[in-house]
Amino acid sequence: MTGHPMERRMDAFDIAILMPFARGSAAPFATPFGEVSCEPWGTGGRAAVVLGPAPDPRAAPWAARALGATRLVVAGAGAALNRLLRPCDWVLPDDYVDQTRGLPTTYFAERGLGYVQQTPPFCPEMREALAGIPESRTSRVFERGTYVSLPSPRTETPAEAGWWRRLGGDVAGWGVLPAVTLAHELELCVAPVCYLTREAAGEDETWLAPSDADTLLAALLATLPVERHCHCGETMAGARARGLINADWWQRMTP
Amino acid sequence: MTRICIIGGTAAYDLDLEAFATLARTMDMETPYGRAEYRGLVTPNGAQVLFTSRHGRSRLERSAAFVNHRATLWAARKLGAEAVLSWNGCGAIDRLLAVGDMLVPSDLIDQTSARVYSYRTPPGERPSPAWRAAGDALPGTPPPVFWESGRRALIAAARAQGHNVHAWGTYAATEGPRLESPAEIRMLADAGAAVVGMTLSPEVWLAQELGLNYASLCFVTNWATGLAGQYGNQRTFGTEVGVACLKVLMAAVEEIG
Repeated sequence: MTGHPMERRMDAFDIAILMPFARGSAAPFATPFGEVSCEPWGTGGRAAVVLGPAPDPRAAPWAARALGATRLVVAGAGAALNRLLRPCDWVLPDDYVDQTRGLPTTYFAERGLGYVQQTPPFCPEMREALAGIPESRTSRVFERGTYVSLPSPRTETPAEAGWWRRLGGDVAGWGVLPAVTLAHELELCVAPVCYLTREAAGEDETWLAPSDADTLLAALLATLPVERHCHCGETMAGARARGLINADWWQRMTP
Repeated sequence: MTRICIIGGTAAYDLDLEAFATLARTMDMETPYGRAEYRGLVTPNGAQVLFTSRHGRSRLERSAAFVNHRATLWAARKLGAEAVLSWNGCGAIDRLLAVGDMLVPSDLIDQTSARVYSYRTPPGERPSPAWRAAGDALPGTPPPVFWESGRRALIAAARAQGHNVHAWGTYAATEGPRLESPAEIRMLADAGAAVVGMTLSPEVWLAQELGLNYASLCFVTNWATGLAGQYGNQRTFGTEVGVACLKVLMAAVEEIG
């Protein structure tokens, strides 16, 4: 990472946000799983980094950890499965159903590790802070919901949307999984936030904008304490205690 | 006599095999799909059995998603096996189950997402949808998914040894290695799954592709995500699981004859 534009900020970032697109002023950051676009962001003495997507979902959570972040927000655009929701709403999911196919699901390939509990599925402290996203006449904030990840880059069929609705799904979208479950392995606090751009099986009516990262980070940093008071940082404590991994295990990964 | 292969799951790597059978010899083998490790066993009644530990020889070396099922089963076939009996640890979804129960699955819901499901995928490559486009469909999987004679033998052996064994139930296979979310378990419950684990797919499909009969014994090691609060937080993953399962499987081998 020598000479990297992010280098001087290393260990300064305490929060990372993963957006579904790269922002114009971002610089590439190398990880063992490919490059990720990164852009520093700061206010009031707190520093965050805005990450863009990468083909390998392991890249962005790893970059967050490497850049010093202990917390990761995964922001995604989604479709409303629940008929109480509508485009322009924000949803803070509290549970998920993973319908992705063929993506890496762990950093512990070929090993007997990674049996990570998903209770609670997301960091309660971060979810509480994200609830401070400002509502408006067009945007409401829903603090609960089950997120269904789409199997592939295509949109859902009407039949799939109906099935997932019957399963209890509230929103469907891309990008949140497997990023959040990979972040658990890295002992990051992680929470998703979903901006609804369309009805399920419908056309986009609005879009998640690059500037929405600013809105989300401002809301987070207004209330999120500097110190973590949750258990997210202990996910791999058992494996460490048994000597199966050491403190810097994640730094020596290969794809 | 049917030549049986036993694939040991939870705690198989902890077992002293000589306490169960006479050790014949090591039968490790290089296959086109990688290395397979086998021990030859002879039961007290003289039946010859192949044995392998699914997750590794000395400890939990590989999670279910990284088990080389193709090498294991290909070697079993090459070594003369005609049928496979396996055991696995699973989480209970059906509220009538209890930790420590056994269940011999009668059906399967496959929710894995990134496994190698067929011998038609070349060694070292991930699955490709190309075979579908070519109209080269895999052989059908006619019901039942599991080998009925093997199932009956496992049920009879478990009952004879005093276990609380359930003769029917659907096993849901998930990708892992992470555990499931509460919403995923609710989905699998709605779909009719009794237990959840990460093992039986693609093991059963690959066995079928090689013409091997396949049946499995599920040992309920814990409650599935979100249910422990209702039914208790008991968990058992230790050597006692492997001991109980191997005893049942060895008796089932003799029952099959």
